[in-house]
Amino acid sequence: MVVSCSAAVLVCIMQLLLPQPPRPPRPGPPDARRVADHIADIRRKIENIQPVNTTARRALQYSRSYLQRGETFLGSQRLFTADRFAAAADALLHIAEHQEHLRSNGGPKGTTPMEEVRRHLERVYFQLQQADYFLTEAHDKEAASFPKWARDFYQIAMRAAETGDAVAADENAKCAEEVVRALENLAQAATENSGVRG
Amino acid sequence: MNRLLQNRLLLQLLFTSVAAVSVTALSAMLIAEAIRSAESVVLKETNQVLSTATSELQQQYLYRVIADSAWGSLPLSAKDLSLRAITQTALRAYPGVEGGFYAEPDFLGYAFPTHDSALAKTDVPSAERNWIEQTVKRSLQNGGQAHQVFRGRSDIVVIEATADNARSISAWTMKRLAGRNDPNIQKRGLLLLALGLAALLSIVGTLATGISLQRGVAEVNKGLSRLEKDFEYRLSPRSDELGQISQSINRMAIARGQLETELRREDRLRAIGRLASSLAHEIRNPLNSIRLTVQLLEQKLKTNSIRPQDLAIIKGEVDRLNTLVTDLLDLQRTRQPRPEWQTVLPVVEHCISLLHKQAEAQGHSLTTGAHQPDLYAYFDSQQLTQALVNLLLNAIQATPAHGRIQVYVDDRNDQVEIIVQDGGAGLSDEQREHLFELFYTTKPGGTGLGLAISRELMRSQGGDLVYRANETGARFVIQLPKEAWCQPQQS
Repeated sequence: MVVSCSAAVLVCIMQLLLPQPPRPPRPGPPDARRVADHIADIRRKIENIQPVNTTARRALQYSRSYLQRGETFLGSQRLFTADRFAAAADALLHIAEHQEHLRSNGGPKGTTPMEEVRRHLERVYFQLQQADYFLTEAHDKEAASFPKWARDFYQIAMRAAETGDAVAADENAKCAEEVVRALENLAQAATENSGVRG
Repeated sequence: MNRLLQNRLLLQLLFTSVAAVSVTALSAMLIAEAIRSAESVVLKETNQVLSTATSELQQQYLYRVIADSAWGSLPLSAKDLSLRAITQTALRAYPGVEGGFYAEPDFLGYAFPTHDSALAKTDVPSAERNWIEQTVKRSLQNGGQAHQVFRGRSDIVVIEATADNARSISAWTMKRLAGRNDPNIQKRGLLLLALGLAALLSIVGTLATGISLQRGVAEVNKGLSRLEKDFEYRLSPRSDELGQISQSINRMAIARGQLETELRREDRLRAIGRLASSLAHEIRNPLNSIRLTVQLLEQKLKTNSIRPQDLAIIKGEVDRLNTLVTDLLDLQRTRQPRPEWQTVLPVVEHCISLLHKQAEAQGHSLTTGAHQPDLYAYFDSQQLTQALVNLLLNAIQATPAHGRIQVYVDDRNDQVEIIVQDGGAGLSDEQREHLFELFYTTKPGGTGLGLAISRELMRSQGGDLVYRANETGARFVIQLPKEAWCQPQQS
């Protein structure tokens, strides 16, 4: 009994003394500070990335635009909308990153097995079908070309999968997914003033 | 109603019509019932569809949550939008299926992508909201699937829900089976029973009236058969439409009886006329002969040369007149027959024994035979003996010496026949034509009354005497009835 109590106290002391890994942000309603940090983080990434092709340039252009709109909403204290615009800018930024991975023939995690790529493509196909709905709900003219853009990525990914190019298939599938995610974030941003239906 | 009950043909038509209508309606209802019985099959299929759809919803939800670290911090309106996109996409492949998610206390992501409407349906249906809530709560409680079937006013509603492992959210799907629920099933059952009873009663009624009609027709037929032999018989009265036919037949029978009586009276008058004429002729011949002989005797008396032969002529003619008168008296004295059910062969054998010696004297062989020795018939044995002896005497006379005379008894359906076949030359066509006429004879010294009397004797007891053409000799046939026969009363 005495031994086990001593062990517990020792573990607690060790916990306090050893360096702790950074905690993930706690889920909850966005606060101004966190949103501002998020926007700043994305801004920094945008500035640091070198677009490898026109697709990446286009993605970064959109990303900047939405990030700016996010900053504007942050300034008017519409935190949720600002946060969703930042998330959309982040998704579009990832497209530029995936284009970079394409050029370097694979991302930091290495090549994904083709079987997993195919399963991913199936999920992306499902998400693609939501693109038009998100666009409608987003009421954003700037994003009008996004559904087609996502489908184009998907088509490229499919062709790559057919030729057995797992990297191209995976990265283009991820690009398609990021476009739909950006659309979803924009649609979510538009819901700030609407309630839950149902 | 009374008239309808009496008119069975109309009644049968009515029964048949009711039966036809009932059976048709019954068939239609049975087909409908069969279709309804497929409900379990439809429910099973629906369950499978909903189960697959709900699993897909749940799976897509998990993909969505895993892919977004900020999901938990999203407000309900944003979650609602994202989940609606999932529901709308996932349920597009399931016609008639609607669904969404439930995270207590809110419904999220409701969609009905295949709804037949220009406007998208975005609200959880209020009519079924409680049922859905009940099902999803059950799934959240047991942390797995919940499946419930609800019966509405006319629809059956099937709901399926699957909760996630954390029991925080449940995906649900629902399908309405329109027109599957029948609230009038009890009334329908009663109607089915009533139709069944009506059909059964109609069929029984049709059979009963059919049998009754058939019996009635058979009774009328039997009456008609009897009426052919007994003019006094009348068909029994009936209250139905066959009764009218029976009455008509009875009226016809009465009219026929009257007509027969009239004809018979006229026949008798004609016969009396012919008899008187023949009698006058038959009497005049011997009288003339007697007169001539007497005149001759007057002359011979003067010369005293009277011969015994002359007196013999007179005596012979007087005897001939006497025989004629005796036969006529026989004809007149014919008594009413008293037919009895008895065997025929003994009477035939008795007649043969009476004439056996007479036949032997002329060297004839007189034989008798019968296919069946115990044939019975209705006849007056005394009158049959008289007729048969008459026929046998004719046969003995007509057969040349050492000839053969055969008598045999035969069974012929409704009568027994006694056939007398002689060994003579037979009869010519002319002789056959006048055979049974009074005073017609081909025998020297014959009166021409024997065959007429014999036939009358047979006819008076329901039988007959006929001549049947034969290649050799003459063949006379006495026909005796097997059924009792009532002689019509003569007026």
